Amino acid sequence: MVDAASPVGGRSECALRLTLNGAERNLTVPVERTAADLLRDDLRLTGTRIGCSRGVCGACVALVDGVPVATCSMFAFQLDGCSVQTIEGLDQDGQLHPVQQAFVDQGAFQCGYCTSGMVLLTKALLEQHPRPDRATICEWISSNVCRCTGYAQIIAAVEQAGARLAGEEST
Amino acid sequence: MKPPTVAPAQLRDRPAATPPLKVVGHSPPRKDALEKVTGRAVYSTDIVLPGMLHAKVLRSARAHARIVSIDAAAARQAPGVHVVVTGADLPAHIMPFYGYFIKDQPIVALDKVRYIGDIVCAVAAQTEAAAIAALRLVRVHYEDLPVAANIEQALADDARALFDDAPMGVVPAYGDGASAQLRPRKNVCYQFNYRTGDAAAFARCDHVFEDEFRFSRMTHYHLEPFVSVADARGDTMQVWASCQNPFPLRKELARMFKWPENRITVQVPFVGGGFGAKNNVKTEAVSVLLSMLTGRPVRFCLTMEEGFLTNTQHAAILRLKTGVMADGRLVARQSEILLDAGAYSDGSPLVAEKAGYRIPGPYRWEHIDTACLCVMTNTAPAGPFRGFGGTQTSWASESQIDMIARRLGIDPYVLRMRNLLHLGDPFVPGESGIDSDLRQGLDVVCEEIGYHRRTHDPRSTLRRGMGIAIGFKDGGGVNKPAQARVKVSTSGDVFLQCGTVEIGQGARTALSQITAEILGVPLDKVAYAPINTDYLPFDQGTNASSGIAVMGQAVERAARGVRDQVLAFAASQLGVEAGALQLGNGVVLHAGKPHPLAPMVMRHYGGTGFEFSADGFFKAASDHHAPLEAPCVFWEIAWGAAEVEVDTATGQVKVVKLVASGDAGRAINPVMLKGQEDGAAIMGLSQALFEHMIYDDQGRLLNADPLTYRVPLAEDLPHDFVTITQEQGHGPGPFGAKGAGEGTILPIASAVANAIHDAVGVRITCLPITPVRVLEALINQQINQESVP
Amino acid sequence: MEYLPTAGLLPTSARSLAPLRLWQPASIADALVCLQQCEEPVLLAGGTDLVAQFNEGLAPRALIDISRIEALREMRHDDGVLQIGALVTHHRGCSDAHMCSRVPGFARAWSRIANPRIRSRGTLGGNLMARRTRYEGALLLQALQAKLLFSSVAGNEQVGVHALWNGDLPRRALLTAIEVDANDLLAFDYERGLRPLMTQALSVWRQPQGLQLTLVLATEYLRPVTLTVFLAGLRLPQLVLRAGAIARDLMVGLPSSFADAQVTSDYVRRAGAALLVRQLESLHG
Repeated sequence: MVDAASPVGGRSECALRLTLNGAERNLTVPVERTAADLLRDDLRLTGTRIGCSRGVCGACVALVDGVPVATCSMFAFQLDGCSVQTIEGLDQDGQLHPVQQAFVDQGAFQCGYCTSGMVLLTKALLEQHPRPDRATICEWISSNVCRCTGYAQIIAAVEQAGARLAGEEST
Repeated sequence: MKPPTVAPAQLRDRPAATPPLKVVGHSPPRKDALEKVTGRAVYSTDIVLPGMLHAKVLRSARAHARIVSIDAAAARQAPGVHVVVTGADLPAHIMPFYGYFIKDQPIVALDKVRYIGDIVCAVAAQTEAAAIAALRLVRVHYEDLPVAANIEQALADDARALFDDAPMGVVPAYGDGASAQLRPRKNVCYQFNYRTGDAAAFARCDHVFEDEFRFSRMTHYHLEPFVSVADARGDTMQVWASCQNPFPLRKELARMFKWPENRITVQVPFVGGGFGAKNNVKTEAVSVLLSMLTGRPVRFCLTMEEGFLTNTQHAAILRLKTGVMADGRLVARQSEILLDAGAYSDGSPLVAEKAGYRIPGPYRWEHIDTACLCVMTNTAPAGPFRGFGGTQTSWASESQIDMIARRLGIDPYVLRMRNLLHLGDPFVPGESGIDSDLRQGLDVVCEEIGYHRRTHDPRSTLRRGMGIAIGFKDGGGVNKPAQARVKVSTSGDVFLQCGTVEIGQGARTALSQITAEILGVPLDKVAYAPINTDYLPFDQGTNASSGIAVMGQAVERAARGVRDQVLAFAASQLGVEAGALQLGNGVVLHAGKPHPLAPMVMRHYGGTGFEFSADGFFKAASDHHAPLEAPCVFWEIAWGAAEVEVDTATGQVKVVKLVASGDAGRAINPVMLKGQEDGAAIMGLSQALFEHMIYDDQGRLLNADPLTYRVPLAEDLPHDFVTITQEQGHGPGPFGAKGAGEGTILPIASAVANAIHDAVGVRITCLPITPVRVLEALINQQINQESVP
Repeated sequence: MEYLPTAGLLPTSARSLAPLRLWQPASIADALVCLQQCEEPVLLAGGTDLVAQFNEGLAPRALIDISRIEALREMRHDDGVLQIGALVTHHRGCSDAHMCSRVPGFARAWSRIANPRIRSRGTLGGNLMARRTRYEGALLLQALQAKLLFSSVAGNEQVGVHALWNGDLPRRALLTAIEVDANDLLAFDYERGLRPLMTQALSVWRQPQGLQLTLVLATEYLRPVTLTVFLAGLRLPQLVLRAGAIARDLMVGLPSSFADAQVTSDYVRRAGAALLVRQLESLHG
């Protein structure tokens, strides 16, 4: 077993520096802590939900450097140096982000458990593809599971959000 | 891949209202919208209490075995462990069994395990890691018993009984034609029977067709896991649970732990999906017990894999013997329905009641004879699942209706039209009348899909066809009481208090809309109380699509009651007749002139204010002539139509267009309702084509994890997906509303099977309709055709 | 869940892990030292599959995070031989300009596996080393006759993709790159319309006296099986004319044991043949 004196070293804790919802955070985390548990248990940001704990359902999705990632499938220390956005970081001073507003307007959620992940996934999609066609929307939304909606209203919300962000429709 | 087209909410035949409705029938944002899109919504998974311990359980890897010994000594000594509980450690004074009609499921296994997943040992520890590490030290010695992994194995003469002794059970009272028995035979925990008319009717028939159908088993796959936090220190018991029926849960915990009900509080935050799984005891008995034994709050949260092993839909074998006349008139149906109830009865007797009751479908019969059996197998317990027996029966009945039509050379649409019940016809003798125009509804989906204009191209490799089906179930529960309370403060703020749980279906919003409409206030003036059994009126549970039609009537009565109170008070203050007054937003109107409520109250009750409060109660009147002891409150009916394209080289079925339509009577919130109809239809489509739990013949679940258990994703949407909400206006609920939310799951599988038959002439009677089954059927068809000289 | 033969099933997860020790080597050489010296080391790339392994009972004590090793992200091409670093993500790999021009069929197939969220983070190496029959990387690379390049303190080694399944992998070694010699590759097509029941990857290779057709089939539960046929004297444009016969001949080689809970071998043979005909037709078109 490599000991602490070995040239490459091994540690049980990591210093973590990240930007979380726009704010600089400095933390120390145990190596085995997952990103989802860091957010939910340590930082009490429970908007990131845990569903399957396997990276399949996407309820735990947060944006890491703008990319949607299943936080249950990441260690917290992997967030070092990253910019992380959770659902809590989306609305500004009580003003909903256009994606959030579109989800409200289209009724794109029911039990709400997948919603945090879906909203952030949508935000990332629209940043990569500002006016996505239906095929692209379907492909992206297939990254996450929703058991309630049957997806039709989610797809409509993505389209509406895209239109509004592109300035083609007033809110 | 062609992306789907999705249509916005479509409403049909909206009944006029006088005066025009201001809140009901509109689609304001959901009351929980802000919380859910910002992530601020709190679920039971988020509940943390100081000093909270974490529970984990060890589960059986054997499908059927006697527990010879459990050695948990090392586990008890493990770091961070507060208590270890096996069957031998259960306190003597508690009743360790729970269930619905039959109390057969132990908190932890006692003498044997009955399925892979059965709980053997429970630990509460400082952390989940400590609990798991402790369980890893437990040693269990099992003695294998023969496994009955499916219905056939369980009913075989040499099958081993899952239960040697009869668990405590009840059979409710039934009315005309209905009856039930406990344990009629080995490995059958309950049998429901329904009979009307005379078996001699079969002799009069021109044809008698016997067909067998097989229905698959799905798991609910609610994204929020089963979870509860229990704090049972001292003499009060506080439970936070992801639970659809907090009051029955409270009652069950009171019975099991010999605890007064008024010292048990059940609170339910938002529920992240239930679909029927989250009823009665699931994680709560373990968390309560461990809290009692440790003197600390205990959280018990299952993984999704554990969820698969906790509650499932019922697989079923349905054998229908149907007698008809040559002109297509339906005469008699004798059915034997075998439900795979899994290892513990859970909600199976109730499902058996409903499956046994619904199998005739929405048709006129002279004679019905049905037996529905709950067969115990060494698999995960089956229980309530959206559709509740109606999915199984619609699959079989609507498939056979089509088969009969083809055999008689009659168009399936014509055969249905000829036999459907009319608006107002009792479903069966003693029952309430059908409250939808079934023919009108069928025409809606047929028109949308172009059923009468369909064409066929037998030369193509990709063959198209269309199918229709009618999903049918009674709605609103049986004998179900509902209570609600509405309070109005002097500022006109409204408090709605009732036990309906928000599980995603939009109950909070819709019931608030009804309240707001009656009180003449904007929706945001109504606050829906959090679910807490201490403060809310009793409710039997959020199930049976009863929210609008049953609880909605209680809410309506409570709202009217409080409105009348306010108006009576104002009348006495103003010296006028109450009938001359109208209630507005914080004001009372007399001949158009507004009189603010607050000053009137202050004059009379003083500056500290006042609340007006009224209760509402609704229950369908009991009637011994009704087969289920009370006439059904409403009929949940949905029509489905599918256009498929069958790849005859691979058997793959693409759903080109899916039309699903339910009659909601009146849609309280059309956008929200569309979401429920969409979601139910896609669940039905999923079951039709691919989603199912794969059990082998040793009771092992092969796709027991989120990666291999396939649920529908956005890419699985049909190319053209249309849901239409009909508002035929005949519902008994507020403003002519009925219930919804389960309707559109019902007709989808049979509509798809009927469409496949229309396309390629093969009949699949087994779910899911996989490419393998379709191709096999096509090959057999070709062999049969080639062998015809 | 973890299966304990002496007790039953345990719902393990990342939350039940004992404290881990972490190494974050900055170079391949450092990583190899870690691999050699750590007790039961587990490698961490993107980590998308590791959590599933924790759910299945994997409880490592040492974690070697190789994500800082830039050399593992290189994509090289040299005289028709492509080298894809093990840490190349699906998203980056399939959109690489050279990949798209040199092996467009593979780039296209690669761009459709999993979903956009997984593709942005999952690595090709991680996909392969997870050794899950449901993942598609191994099947695609098997059809490309790819070589897996491993390094250990003992030296470098090359193995075929099949080594993932038969356990013949170098011990305490790091998968550094995947190598595809595309010089004789004439065409590649991936058919995944029947997924997850079955998928199949087709590659066509130039041979001295004709063509070699390789078809790799897999199901959700079954490991890939490779069927190969040599077609003497044929050229690519002629394949479509003999598509039916080629498909039948090739599928005869499918073992009758190739069946699982969802598909029979008979089904795979028939449907696979039909799909293969379409694949050959699409190559022509």
